[in-house]
Amino acid sequence: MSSTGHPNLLPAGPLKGLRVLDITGAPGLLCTRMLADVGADVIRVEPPSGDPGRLKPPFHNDKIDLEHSLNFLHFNSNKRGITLDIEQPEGQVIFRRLCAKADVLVETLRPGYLESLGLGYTSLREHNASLIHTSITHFGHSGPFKDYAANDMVCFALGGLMSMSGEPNSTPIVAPGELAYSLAASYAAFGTAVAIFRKELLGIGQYVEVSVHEAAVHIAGYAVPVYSATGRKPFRQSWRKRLFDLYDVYPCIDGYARIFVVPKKHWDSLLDWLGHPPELTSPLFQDQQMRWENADLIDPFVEELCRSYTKDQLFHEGQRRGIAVSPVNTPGEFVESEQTRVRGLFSSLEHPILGSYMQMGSMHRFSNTQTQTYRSAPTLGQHNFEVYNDWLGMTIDQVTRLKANRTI
Amino acid sequence: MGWEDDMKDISFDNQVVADTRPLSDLRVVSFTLGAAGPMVANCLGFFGADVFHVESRIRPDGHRGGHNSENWNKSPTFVKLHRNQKSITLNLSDPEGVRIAKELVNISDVVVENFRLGVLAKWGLDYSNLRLIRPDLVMISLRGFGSTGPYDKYATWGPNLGALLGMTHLWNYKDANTPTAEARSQHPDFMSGVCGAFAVMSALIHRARTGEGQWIDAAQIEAGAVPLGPLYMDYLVNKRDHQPSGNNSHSAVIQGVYQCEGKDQWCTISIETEEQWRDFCFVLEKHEWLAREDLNTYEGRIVNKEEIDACISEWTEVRSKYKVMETLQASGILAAAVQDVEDLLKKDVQLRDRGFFVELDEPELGVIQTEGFPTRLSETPGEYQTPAPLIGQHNFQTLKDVLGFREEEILRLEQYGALY
Repeated sequence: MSSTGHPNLLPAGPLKGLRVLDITGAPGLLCTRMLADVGADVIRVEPPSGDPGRLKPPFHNDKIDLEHSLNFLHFNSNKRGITLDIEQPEGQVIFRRLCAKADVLVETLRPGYLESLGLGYTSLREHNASLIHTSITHFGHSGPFKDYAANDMVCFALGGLMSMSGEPNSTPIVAPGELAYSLAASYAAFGTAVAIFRKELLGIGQYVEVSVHEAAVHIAGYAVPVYSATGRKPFRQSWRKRLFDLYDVYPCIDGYARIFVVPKKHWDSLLDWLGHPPELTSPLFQDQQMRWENADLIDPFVEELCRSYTKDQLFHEGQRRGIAVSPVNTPGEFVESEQTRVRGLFSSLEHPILGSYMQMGSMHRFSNTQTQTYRSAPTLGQHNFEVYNDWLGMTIDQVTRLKANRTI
Repeated sequence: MGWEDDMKDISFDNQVVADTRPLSDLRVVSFTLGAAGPMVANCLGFFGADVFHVESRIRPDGHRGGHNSENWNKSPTFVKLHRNQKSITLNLSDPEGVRIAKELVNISDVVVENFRLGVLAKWGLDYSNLRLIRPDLVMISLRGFGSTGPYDKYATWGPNLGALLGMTHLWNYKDANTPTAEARSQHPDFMSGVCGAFAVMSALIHRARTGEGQWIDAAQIEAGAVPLGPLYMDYLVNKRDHQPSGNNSHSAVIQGVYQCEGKDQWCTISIETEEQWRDFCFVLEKHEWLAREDLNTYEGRIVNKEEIDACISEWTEVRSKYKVMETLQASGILAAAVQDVEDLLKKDVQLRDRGFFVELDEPELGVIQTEGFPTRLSETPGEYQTPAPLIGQHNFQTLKDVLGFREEEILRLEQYGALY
């Protein structure tokens, strides 16, 4: 049976051999991608008509169809894919049999939906006591917002960071890249791994519940403990008014750069670079809080320095001096950067329809258990026979019949 | 079987006895500064791992408050990152300090570090040295750019990484003429910290199966960049470099953030389906919109967005943001109050109902609320049980009870300056 990608490369990594069923939408895609990247055999279960996420832009060559979504390709590499209609009675029987063989089920279905099909955790556990069931929902399975309709922006807005995002006299804006979803999925992957660790040692399964809303509160950084201790509320600030602060960006010859000075040593290096202007030599400026309070004195010197460099010159010269300087890049500039190329963050994959294309690899490198991005996202139903045969021992005739019934 | 029946024997109680926490038989040594490394240890500590945060008075953590020792035990940001951890102060520039660190590693399972490349090697505490002491050690190095490549020694903080990977640039209004409108956020710290904790667990699972330890090379920027993966592919495949798009959505029928009653009060509204659009028109009593052919299509509504937005604002401006959210949600329409931190703690009934915030009495700060953990395990839940450590709080206890040093030896090390 040949699969896509490099046919001689098999899943490898610390979770090799772990069986995962994946019925996630946007809030959970990264969770199962992380499990697949460390070697788990992740089977993506889609309805026969295809996951709606297959139509999420952008698209390969801008062609809008089920196999061309770059979003789908990014979040589903290293996974295999099957189709199954879990709303049909026969589909439910098959789903139970799959769950009986799985170590982990990850899903993002609305609270109560699986239970309404008779496929809730308590019921699945009857046939697989050590099943780990990870549920990622917008608000969790309890509380007054449990059934609210939501997307990433809803959770981001409720989570607190949106109130600090945007210009002070204008509309708050959402962060790019569905940050609340990504962080929630990361928390889900971690929690699932803790449950797998326990299962390895004690053989017990459990229910892992993640709320995107709660994860989103963490993206607001330190607002909660700072407010709790001091009553200070962060607010939206214009980049021009931030002055010499941790988050400042300065105009340079060809764009912008950020200079982020925290330790005393970095401030001393910056003073060297600025040529020790007498206005800034007061020892009071050794203290971060004092610098922040006197930002308007410091700012013009830094601004003048930056104007005579390109952003990459500032980056490398600043770093040579030991200061945390970085260019403000576009996504394309990040892709093209030297570090990204040398570390091979983006690599080429083979896809049965699209041919070879470039995408981002996995985020960790393990010294002892090689991991790699070796397989492109599955085409719709690509591994139906392979998986139904391998997991459930179905024959080609059985699979053909299920296809004819639109069960798969 | 009904939903309630199905869920009744799954409990997410906050009160648990210590030894049911799933990682309570693990020890973690954390050589970390800032936030990304401490977040790895924080995740492990929440589920019960015994975390020793190694720090120093010579180079105090920025989250302790830098060189101003008055503030070292009074930093709310440090509290968020370090609950459930112990603090040991070691002078690692001294061989005696390094010896104590190695003794700690000798009895530990995991080492987390995010120093600049070469710093731990200089002290003989890098993986190639520590694996000689503990062959089955799981160690993660979580640097800004990872431990290889031309920028491997560069200094970065979370906001530097957001700028490098494209987030700062994209976080802005459509057609903006400013460099950024991003919030003061450190998302790469949190993303890479939680993802790093996942990597550590993966390696621990491998160790449980095989007995083998290993080292994990993690780059904060690579975890921070994952959410933008599809945009990088758009550049690689279609040669399209993305520009900011503000609150616009490629798929929603209508999406925006609208001013509500009161100063700086806002509510998001997203209408994703034609059905929701019809319901929305009913709620706003804009029945005439349903009759208008030019508003029947996605393109038509884009053309007339200004007119539609003006009417929506007229409706939202006389209602509180919570009223707007509740009214629209009752009709199945996506809407959310834009909450500030005070709202989170005082008005968010969902977070309150789920008992999300954690209150612990910090010795020098008093009762401080921090965020709870967004992951709940039914059988082996985690819990924040102890406040953040005072600097060096656990020096004596760790050396005496955990490492078995004699009291006079500990006093000598203190006077000598190795325990610093």
